[in-house]
Amino acid sequence: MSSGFRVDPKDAVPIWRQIELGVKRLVASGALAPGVAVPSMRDLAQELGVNPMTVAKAYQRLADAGVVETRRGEGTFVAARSAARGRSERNRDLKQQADRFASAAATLGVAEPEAVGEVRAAFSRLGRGTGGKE
Amino acid sequence: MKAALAIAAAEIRQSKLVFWGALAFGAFPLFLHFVRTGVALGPAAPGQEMPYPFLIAITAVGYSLAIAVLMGGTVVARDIGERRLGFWLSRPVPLLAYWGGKLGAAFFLAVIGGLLTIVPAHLLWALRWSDTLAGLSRTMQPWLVAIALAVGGAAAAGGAFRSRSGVLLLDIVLLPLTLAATFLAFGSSVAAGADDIVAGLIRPTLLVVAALVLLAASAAQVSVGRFDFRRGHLALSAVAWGGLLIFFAGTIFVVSRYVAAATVTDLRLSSAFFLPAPAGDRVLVEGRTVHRGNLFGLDKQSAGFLLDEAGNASSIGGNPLGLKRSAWSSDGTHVAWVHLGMIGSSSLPQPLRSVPGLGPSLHVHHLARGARPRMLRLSAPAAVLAVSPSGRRILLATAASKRVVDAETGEPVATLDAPASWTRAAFVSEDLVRALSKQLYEPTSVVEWNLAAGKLDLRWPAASATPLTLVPSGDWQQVLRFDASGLFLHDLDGRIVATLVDGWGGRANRAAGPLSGGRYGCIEEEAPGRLRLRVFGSDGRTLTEVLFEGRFPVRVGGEPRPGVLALAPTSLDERPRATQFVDIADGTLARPRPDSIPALRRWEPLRELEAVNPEPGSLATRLFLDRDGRLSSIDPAGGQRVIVTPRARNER
Amino acid sequence: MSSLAVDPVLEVEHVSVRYGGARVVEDVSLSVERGSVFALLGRNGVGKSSLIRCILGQQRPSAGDVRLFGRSSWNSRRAAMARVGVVPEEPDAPPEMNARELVALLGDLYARWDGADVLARIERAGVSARVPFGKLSKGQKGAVMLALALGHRPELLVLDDPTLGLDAVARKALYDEIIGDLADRGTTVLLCSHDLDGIERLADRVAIVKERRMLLNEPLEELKARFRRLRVTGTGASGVDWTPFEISASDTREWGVETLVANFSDERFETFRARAAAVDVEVVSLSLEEIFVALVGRKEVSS
Repeated sequence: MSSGFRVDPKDAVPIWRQIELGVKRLVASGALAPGVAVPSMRDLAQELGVNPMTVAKAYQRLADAGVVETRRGEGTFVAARSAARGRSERNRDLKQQADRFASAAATLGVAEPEAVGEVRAAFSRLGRGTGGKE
Repeated sequence: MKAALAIAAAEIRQSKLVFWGALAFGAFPLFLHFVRTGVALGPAAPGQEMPYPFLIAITAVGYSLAIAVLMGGTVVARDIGERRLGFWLSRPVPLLAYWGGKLGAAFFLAVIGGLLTIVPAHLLWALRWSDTLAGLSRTMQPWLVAIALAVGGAAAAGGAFRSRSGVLLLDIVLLPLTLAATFLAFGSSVAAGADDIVAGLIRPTLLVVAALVLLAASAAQVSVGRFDFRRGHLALSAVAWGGLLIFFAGTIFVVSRYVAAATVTDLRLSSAFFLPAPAGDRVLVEGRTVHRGNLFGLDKQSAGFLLDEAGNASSIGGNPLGLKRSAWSSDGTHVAWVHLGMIGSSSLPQPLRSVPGLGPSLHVHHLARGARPRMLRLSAPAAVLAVSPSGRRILLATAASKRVVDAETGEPVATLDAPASWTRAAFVSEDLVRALSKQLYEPTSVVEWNLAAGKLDLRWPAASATPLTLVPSGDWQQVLRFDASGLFLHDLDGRIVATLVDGWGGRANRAAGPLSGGRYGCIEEEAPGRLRLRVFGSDGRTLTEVLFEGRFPVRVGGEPRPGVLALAPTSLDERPRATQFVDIADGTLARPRPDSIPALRRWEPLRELEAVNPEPGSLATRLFLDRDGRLSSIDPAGGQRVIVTPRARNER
Repeated sequence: MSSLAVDPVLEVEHVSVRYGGARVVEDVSLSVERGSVFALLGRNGVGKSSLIRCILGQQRPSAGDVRLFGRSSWNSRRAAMARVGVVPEEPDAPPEMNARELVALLGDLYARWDGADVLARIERAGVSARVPFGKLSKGQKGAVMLALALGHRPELLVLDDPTLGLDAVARKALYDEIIGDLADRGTTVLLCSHDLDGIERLADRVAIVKERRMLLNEPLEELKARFRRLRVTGTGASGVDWTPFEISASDTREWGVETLVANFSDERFETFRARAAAVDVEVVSLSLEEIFVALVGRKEVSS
């Protein structure tokens, strides 16, 4: 199974983090539906050409975050939404990301309407409209 | 062990060409033989000459040695040279297992390859396996040693070259040094008389040792050096040269020193060779020794000594056969002896021939107190026929020529145009000016030589029969001739001056020779057990005639006192076992000396006498050996003085 | 990594290597933990191969100790090699033997050996098992050497420049095998290579040797985190106060100043930013290759 994302080893962001974010993005965009199996650590490592421990670390963090779950003898699967962490955590994460984005925009000297427009464009690239649950 | 076998098996599997090559190589010379001679294939007809065993042996040995060198020099050395040792170093395999497997494979391939070359001959010529197996079992041990030596040597040499380190320069220096040390050691063994031991007994062992040293050196390179090739080469060179120097050259040297440490009491006197001085109290003696219980199991070592009547001895080295080609000056002040060196040394290249002891040499000794013998190198083995009393001139005979040489320099003074048979029959005047010899080829005659000019002086008129003995008198005025027709005195022109005995009257056993005071003597066997001695004056008159008990041949021991002749049996096993002393003037017999015989091998019964008669009273006339092998000097009046008591009871 | 290393698989302590009079490696120390991928970098001729030979007990260092699995690698070479797989820089298998014969031979040299697995690997690499080793291409030889090195399931895999001279396809195939083995068995890896991209993907820890000595030895993540290139433009750029940064290199251009910072962190950046408020600062992260070249290449000292 192809992973659907790439990693750039040269990037400053550690590879495990790139994998973690990549999987999260796929799950968020719906490309990886709940219950779908994610590639095994071995397969993903070979496909990306990276140290399997890196993949293992990413998967561990994803499991801790509740994004995936490992069933012994069967593999690793995308977790069901309802088993995800509580709404308050999700909101807190979201708020954190929003703060980061806003301060980045301010640093760049971008006004709010333009910045919000960029957010909308990002969502459309993800292939989903605003709002809507699973 | 399992690893070594696996590595060996892999190497053998990769070298199957060796086996096919063996079959081809084994068939090829036979094929050539067939083509050349047209001899049909198949069993040999009775009486047909079979060159095959030799040919087959050469083929087998040659092929196996070639494979031994080829494989031994590459199986490990190539991994070193191409830096592939890491492949084996990164496996859990002992390096000695790798080394053993590789070289074991080389050894195996050489042996089996050699054996396989024999197969075509068997198939084509229907030879008998029993013969071949018998031949193989005889030669198997030296053949295997040769293969081991070839494998070890090639592995060591290959490893040295392929390591590509500067230590090779050290090898280049040490190789000639080791060879030189070996030759010097061997030369000293020849000089000490130990070369028979070295060649016959130790050589097989030494070759095995050399093979082991070289194999160990190759093993050291691999296991001590690992991937550090310089270190490995150092280990290789240290083991190889150290081992060869110590175990090869060193062993030869130590054996020589050990043998050379023999003393005169170690000699087997009863079978020794004596060369006493014709005047004075010295004698050269040479023979086998019972040195230290014959460490090597055979009495192969010989030793020579210069002995005086008091028993003082100095060593002249081991000199087998050399004393028989040596001579004293007539006054006993100088002696020249020949050391023959190693047999076949004349075929060695010049630098090797001059290694002390290896080549033939001439030793000239002046008996002045403290003087050491002077050594001259000879180009070929020679015999000393005569030494002048001054010690300055020596008459030397080689197979090629006879020449008078200067004793200081060895340079020839005059070369004689003389026949080869001359050496046994030459009589030389003591000033080395004249010589007298029998010419044994047609026409047989007696000839006189002018030594200073190197030319034939005079040929006697043809004799009626071949002279058995010719002896010039001491003053070279007369010559005693003794042959089947009688006993005669000639002058130096060959004319008969007097007839001492005219015909032997059918008595076959007789001997004759000069005596002191210008007299001549002759002994005949009158009847079995009865001998007659007749003494003649220089004018031919019979002076004395005496009959006594004795058996022929009888040994004449010269005159231990002027005018007293010693007559002895030739061996102590004969009866009567007594030496008799005969007064020449009146024929009276002194009390016999029981159980002793003259220790004078050169004094054969009076049929053949050498040129220089011993002076009456000299040690030469009074030297005796008894049944216990003791050497003593006697006085006919009754005294005996033991000179040498042998350490162990000498057995013949 | 959550596990705590109990025993290091390899310990190199103050090792120096000398050839004749020349020192090739000077006072190098490192330690490789079980399950990690350790990369050793350096320019050519810096003595990495000699160091690897000392590590493997094939050569004696002129100073220092090497311990594999707690025991001296020189003295316990044989015991260690049962647990170590080696892929050398130059493929050194006997050239006249084919892969099948090599697998059979090595099977007799190891206590445990999975010959079928090795042959499967070789087949996967597209190499015929019947062609003599000497006749294979460089990439095929490398694949065979790696397969042979893994046949006894070693705990430590030592690779000396395994991708040298390989094209992209062969390189990917090689890394695939290594990654597969890492995933299946958690093998410890010591990787000596010039392929910085490959190292960046695989290594946990990186050591750089410069001019015979160890320049640095740290986790790759930390290394990449602390090196940044800062570009300062605008007036006052040349007079900027760089504290608290540690500047590895500095370069003045017409548009401003570019520096290489060796101890970057967000906090330090905030401090710097506060001091240098008047200028524009661009922060660029560096790939491993860029870090390596900056540290080990010829340093240009700007006026």
